[in-house]
Amino acid sequence: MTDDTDLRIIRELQGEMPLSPDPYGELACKAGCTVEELLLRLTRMRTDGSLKRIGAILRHRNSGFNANGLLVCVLAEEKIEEAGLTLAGYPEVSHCYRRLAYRDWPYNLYAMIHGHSESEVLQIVNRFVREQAVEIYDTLFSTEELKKSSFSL
Amino acid sequence: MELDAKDRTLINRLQEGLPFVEQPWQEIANELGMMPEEVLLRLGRLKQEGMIRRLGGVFNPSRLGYSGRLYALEVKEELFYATAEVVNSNKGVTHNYRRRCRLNMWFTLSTRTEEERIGILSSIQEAAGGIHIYEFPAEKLFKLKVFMNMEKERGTERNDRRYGPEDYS
Repeated sequence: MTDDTDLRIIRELQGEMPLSPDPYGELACKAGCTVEELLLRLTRMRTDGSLKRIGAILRHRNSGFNANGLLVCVLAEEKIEEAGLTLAGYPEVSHCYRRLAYRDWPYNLYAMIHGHSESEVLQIVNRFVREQAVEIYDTLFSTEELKKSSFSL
Repeated sequence: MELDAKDRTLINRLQEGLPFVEQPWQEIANELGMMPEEVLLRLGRLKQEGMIRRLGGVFNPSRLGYSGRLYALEVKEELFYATAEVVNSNKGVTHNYRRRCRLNMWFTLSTRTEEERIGILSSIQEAAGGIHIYEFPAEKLFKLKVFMNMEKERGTERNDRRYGPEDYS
């Protein structure tokens, strides 16, 4: 469970890691605990899955990955597992989920594919749908980033 | 901006996450064959020049008591930006994209309670002229691993399997 010290640590980490020679020392100071305790708590949060990592998040567009396509496809029940695992194995895929489908939106498998261009993304899509014999699918390219932020409490 | 080979190696390493040790820069520097001062210097530059959007904690909302879902709607063009403003005003919305599709607005929303979620969705629905909002809860997670490989055209990578199927974003 998270206590007040955890919450202070989380709030600090929602911002920026200090770019100082002793970043955890500064963080511990702000959170009101010792460095040893901070590191123990971080390790616990990572183990229980609430903290994935303290890492760098890139600006996709600056990193050359200009195209982001959401592949949506319709898979039969007996094929969805293999198709999902196949997509998960592609390095260009960052997210892959089975999602609830509707009568007027029948897609049940979603994958976010990143590439340097739309044609690069489409090549990956084409390879996948050919290999898995997917008949109903679409690639929804993002044309405008309306909001992108990190989760915060 | 121009990136050299060391920048690229460092960016990849920093995406994996800092080690939880007293001297994290020293440990990364040792791994990459640099000095810790150089790691800090390069990191500062990569942030300043906008290559790195943020260096900080990446959390799993579902493990912190939040429930998140993906939503999409078909907004009329004349209501599009007014609707986007209402969507984006919510802290629980972390991503919102226009996509080339009948459903032209896609966003994620995390809330602590059902009540809060319903309230937010109805305000969005009102802004969008009362249209239907599609809700796409995840039924199974196959992959969640945002990693932009800056070093090679195509490389090996690790899939994170620590997270539950409820982790949507």
